[in-house]
Amino acid sequence: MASLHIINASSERRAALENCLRAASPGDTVLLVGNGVFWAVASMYEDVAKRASDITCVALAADVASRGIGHLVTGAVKQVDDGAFVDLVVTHHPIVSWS
Amino acid sequence: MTPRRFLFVVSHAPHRGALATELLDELLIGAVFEQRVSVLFTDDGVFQLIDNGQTQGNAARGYLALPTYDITDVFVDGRALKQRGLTEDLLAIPVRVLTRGAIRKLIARQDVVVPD
Amino acid sequence: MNFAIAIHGDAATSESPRLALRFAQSAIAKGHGIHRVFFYHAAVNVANALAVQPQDERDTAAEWATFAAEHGVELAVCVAAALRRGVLSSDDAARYERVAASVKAPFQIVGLGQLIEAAIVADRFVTFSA
Repeated sequence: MASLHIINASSERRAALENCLRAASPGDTVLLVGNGVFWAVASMYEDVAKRASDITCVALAADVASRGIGHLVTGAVKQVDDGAFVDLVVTHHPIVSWS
Repeated sequence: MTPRRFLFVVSHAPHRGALATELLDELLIGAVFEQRVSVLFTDDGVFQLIDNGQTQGNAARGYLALPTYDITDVFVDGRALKQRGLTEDLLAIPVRVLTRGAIRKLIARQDVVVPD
Repeated sequence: MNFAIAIHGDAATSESPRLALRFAQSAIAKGHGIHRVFFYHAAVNVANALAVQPQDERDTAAEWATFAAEHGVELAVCVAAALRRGVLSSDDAARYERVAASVKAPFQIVGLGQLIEAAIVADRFVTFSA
């Protein structure tokens, strides 16, 4: 089963993303939560996409909305609701958090 | 019940108050519960394995106890060492140095992954 | 499925207790179970009964308490981490001769073994980092 990686930090703690992408296997999913959703801003995401073409990246829609960045988020990152977060945990194993 | 595979991932520098000690406590209790415990040091986490020769504020001293708990799966991210100009012989305990590919496989086979 | 949840950050400095609460609420809404929620590191501060939130700010601890009561979910707080940060049961307050107990109901002060036990028993272990 593929792993789910959770990133809750923006580029102020860039290492969270770096460490995650280093440890993630092709086919894994990366979920951006909390301030991690700032990575989904289109110009920020270029940095992620370059090194993570073989992973799926999604972001919590509620956290995108609460930061008012919906219009800035790349189309390459699907926004999902909290229920979909639960579904991702069910369909992935193990769950790995990076901060 | 079959023991579960627990991987503790240490990615932060030492000297963050009690956080290093609290992670070590978690790891040792995992071993007390007879789970298959391993630990991966990556990023600035590798600095936790440098023994400062003092008893206070010394995460490395805590990790010296790992063999006592039969924890021998101690892994270090080779890139993290290299980026910091470190080598295995500078670390307080014996480790196995992993490549990116090996780190990916290590994580994929875990039941539980605990970050610091 | 049965989940175990670990939280590492407190509400004053991190969004993790709130993210975890949203996850827990969604899990229950989808018919899953929560074996235990374990508050570790700075997250033990969530259980501090002496904290006062301004009226116009969300009270994450109160929301966790309400959620736990409604769904019978166990809120566990690590004793060693809690002692360091001044979150004490009445027994601990007496033992260490402190002026008052400070743990909020229904949070329970427990040993760290309860975290490992939860991770062993649950189908999934999800950490909300600080």
